[in-house]
Amino acid sequence: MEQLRALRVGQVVGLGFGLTLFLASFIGLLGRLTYDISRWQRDTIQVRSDVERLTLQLEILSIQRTEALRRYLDTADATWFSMYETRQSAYGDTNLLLTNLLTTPAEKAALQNVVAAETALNDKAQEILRLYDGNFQASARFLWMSEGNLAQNNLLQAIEKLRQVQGDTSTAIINRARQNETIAILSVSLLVPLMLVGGIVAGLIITRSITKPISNLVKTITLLGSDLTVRVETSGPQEIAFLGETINGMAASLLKSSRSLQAYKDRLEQELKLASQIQASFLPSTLPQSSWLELAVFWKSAREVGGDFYTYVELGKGRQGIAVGDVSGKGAPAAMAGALTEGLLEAYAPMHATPETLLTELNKDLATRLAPNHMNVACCYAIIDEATSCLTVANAGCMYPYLRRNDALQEITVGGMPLGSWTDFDYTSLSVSLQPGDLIVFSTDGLVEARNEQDEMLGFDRFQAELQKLPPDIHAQTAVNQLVEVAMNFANHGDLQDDITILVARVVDKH
Amino acid sequence: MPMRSYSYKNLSLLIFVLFITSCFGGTVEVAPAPTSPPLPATVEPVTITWGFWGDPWEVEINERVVQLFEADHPEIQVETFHRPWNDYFKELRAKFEAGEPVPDVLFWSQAPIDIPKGYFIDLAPMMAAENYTLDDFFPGLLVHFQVGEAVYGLPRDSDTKVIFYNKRLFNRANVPFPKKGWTWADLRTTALQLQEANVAEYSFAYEADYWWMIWMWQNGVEVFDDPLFPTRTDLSDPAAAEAVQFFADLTNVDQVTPPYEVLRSSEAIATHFREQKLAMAFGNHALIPAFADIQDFEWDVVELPQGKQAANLAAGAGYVISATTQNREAAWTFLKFLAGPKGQAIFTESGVTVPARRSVAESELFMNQTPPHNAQAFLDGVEIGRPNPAFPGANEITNMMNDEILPPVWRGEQDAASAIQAALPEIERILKASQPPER
Repeated sequence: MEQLRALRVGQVVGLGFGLTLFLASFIGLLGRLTYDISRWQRDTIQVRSDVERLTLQLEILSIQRTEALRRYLDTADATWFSMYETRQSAYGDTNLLLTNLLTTPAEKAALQNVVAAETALNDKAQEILRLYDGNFQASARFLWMSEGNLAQNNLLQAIEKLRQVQGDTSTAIINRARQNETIAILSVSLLVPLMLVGGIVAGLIITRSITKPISNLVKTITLLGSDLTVRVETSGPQEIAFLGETINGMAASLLKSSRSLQAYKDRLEQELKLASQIQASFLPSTLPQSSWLELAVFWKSAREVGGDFYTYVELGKGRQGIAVGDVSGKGAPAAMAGALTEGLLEAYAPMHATPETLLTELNKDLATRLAPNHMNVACCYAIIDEATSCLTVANAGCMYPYLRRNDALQEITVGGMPLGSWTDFDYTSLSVSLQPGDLIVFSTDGLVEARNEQDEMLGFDRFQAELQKLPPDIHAQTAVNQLVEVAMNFANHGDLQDDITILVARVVDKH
Repeated sequence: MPMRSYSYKNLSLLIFVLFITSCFGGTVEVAPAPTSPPLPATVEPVTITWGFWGDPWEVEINERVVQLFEADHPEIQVETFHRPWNDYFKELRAKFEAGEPVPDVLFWSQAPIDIPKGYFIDLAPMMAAENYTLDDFFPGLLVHFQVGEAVYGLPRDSDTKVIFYNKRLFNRANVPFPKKGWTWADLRTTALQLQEANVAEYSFAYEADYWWMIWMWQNGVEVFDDPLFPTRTDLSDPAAAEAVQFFADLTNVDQVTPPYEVLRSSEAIATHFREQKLAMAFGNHALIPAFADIQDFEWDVVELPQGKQAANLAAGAGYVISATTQNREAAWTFLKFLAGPKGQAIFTESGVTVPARRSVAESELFMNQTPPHNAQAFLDGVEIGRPNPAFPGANEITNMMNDEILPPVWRGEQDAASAIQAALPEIERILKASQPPER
């Protein structure tokens, strides 16, 4: 999910970048548009202003020129003729400037008419000047006032027509400029939201085109944790598709490995199950009951197989050997060591009259076998002799057995090193005379070390308190059940942390 | 393929940006460079010939006219053909009849006599092609050149007649100046008053030759029923003789005029007037240059005195194009120049003519000439002018009247009525001989 959030952030950043890019482009285009329109309008206004100014200048020069010639014809004053020539030259220059500024066919045609009228006027002026110089001054004046004026009027009319055409052209150009302006404003008004929407859409398209495959990739990878059969979509950008294909390849490999492991695990579990059944078969399925002694046991391994064990050996002559043990470690190695210890103990027990000799012998045997594997076995072995009502106990690292007699609880405090941990250890034993109603409890540490949710152990105090709560005449099996229930309740019936073995013997009152 | 769809997106964005750019990419119209006008092709000048008669001063003016025309039209060169009046028509008519080359453009008088001979081309088609109108010409001056829709020439001037009077002599005699609308009686009274005042040798002079017809017109006699195609004459009308007799009596009874020997010569009359021996002189505009620039000579002009009605002469020479011309367009261009405002202005400025164009005649060029005079009198005369007879026998009749019939009357040797009566049979004969077969 963290990756997905990062992806969302990436989408927002990508969208923002796309929007910024589009807005920057739009602002650039808008600036260019504004600049072009501004420049075009400025140039157009300048040109139209020049055209109008030059046309007016043309008219003024024409009038001044005509008047200068008229005055020259009237007075023969060369100053007027010089002025006529000056205006004539200026007229030509102005006309050329105007010619270069006019663009429309109508204006050019109107200017052509002006040029034609100007040519006619010039021809007439030259004719009249020749007449004047030919000493026909009165005729020259007359013709200038008649034909010259007519030519001049034609020229002024042509200029006026040109002015009208220019006015029409200017109006058309201004209207066109206004239309362009309207179009520009309309375009901007439409393009702003269009660009924004376009930017958003483009940003979404771009970011989604990148992030969606990644998002799908992350989701699929998340699913791969629980289901290796799902596959990543290999669409989208090439890099993403390549990554998806790689992940699919890895998932396929993992699936293959997982299936192999599952098969191996199944096989192992099957074997462990079989081992558990075998281990259970090694343990006595029932304990002998007599009128003097009730025996009850609870055994449960934390895994399929465990290191706890118990056994019972009929020693003859009213003697019964019972043992509980706990191999260091758990699982199959502990189970195997437990099975070995149980087997050796059952084999050696008939040959030893006392528990301590048995453990001493057993220790020697196991030490050579377990030491290389740094294993040992805690084991408590007791011989109950009905004939003597005596209990003799030897203990190799196991919990002290408890003796509850009436309301008193007593630990049978005999101990020793766990089997296999010290080669030449000499064990001792402790004998206790039994009385009817005595309750002897043998247990491995799994019971007192049962843990609750707060990771607290049941502990010896609670266990001992529970032992003392047991009714005086409780059956051995009932006692076992209650004590196990206490531990299970304490652990809230959760998974066992350790193997549990508890064996209770109760001396029955014969009477 | 993922890469392809990605490229499509990029391409779409690029097209979108290009679309936006193209939408706003401003273009500036550039004015095309002005093209130079085509250079005129060089052409060889066309040479035409202009024929005219006239005095030396008139020849000089014509030569200057040619120079100005050639300056205005470098594509046309004009050569001149000049002969005195008496030789001009005789020689050219002989050439026409002989089929020999004649000038392309001709100054011509009494065109109606020669138009039927096919000497001249009809200008109407060329005029129509150019929308060339005759509106500016005095209508009476066109009569000699128009036959129906055809136009065979354009008039130069009008030989309108006026009375010149010496203002100083009038003032000295304490006689009021004559005014427009005065009558023959006013003329006689004025002449007698001047005579009585004895301020001049003669009070009045009229041209005895040719213009007796004006007096007949004023006295209600048409002379010929049509100036170009007459069928009859009313010279038998007593009013015709009455008109002649009135002026003859001024000479012979009242003795206010010079004798016939002076009256038959316009030059002699002009000399008498210029020398201030004469208080009033019949004449035309051509006399004005002769009267200008003379110190202590104050004169003016007044309309002709009217009899029963006002009448004057509206006749003048004009320009025609020879039917044999090989350069019709160039000849037409030159004719337009001569008969146009410019040509008319030049002749008007020379002071010898009353322009045939109203625009020139009514301009300051004509109206404010020096020395100052009543130019309006000439225009009034044109307005009421009549064309002089111009038919094949017209000259024969006129010459007979000038040389044979009327001189005894002017001398006081015979009364006008009997003289004219004696001439009538011959005049009738000539008229009959002049009738075209188809008419």
